[in-house]
Amino acid sequence: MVKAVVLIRCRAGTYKDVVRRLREMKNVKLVFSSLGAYDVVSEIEADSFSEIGRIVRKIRSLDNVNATETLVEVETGTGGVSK
Amino acid sequence: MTYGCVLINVDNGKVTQVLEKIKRIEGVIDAFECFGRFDIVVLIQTNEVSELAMITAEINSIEGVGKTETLVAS
Repeated sequence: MVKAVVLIRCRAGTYKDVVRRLREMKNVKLVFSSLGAYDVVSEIEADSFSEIGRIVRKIRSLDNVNATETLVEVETGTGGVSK
Repeated sequence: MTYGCVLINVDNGKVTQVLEKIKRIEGVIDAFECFGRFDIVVLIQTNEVSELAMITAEINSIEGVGKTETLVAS
């Protein structure tokens, strides 16, 4: 299982629409809107890196999504760090 | 219920020890190492924004933690 956090900037005034669409996607585990550098924060989970790529491309193709930044989990050699 | 996301830059070679400390903090729902602009991403769930502030302060006090950026749910 691979996790990633996707930070999203939306077109002005459209964050609610983007949040709603993200909540409909099954690999999206957590979504919230935020103030500041990014409008929406989301956590995604997939079986492989290639699937993370597929999901991020899907998010980037959504209407009103202007820019994304994806932080992908890497193994640390300590047997996993997630709770 | 409120959520937060803390993006962290860690001193070289200290990522694992910092992560171990972060994942023991109550309210942390996920924490992992990543490559790129930040070294660690932390997702937090709390009842109050004030608790979120306490957790970010706790993270900032961990040895090896450099710059942090906190994104708060609105």
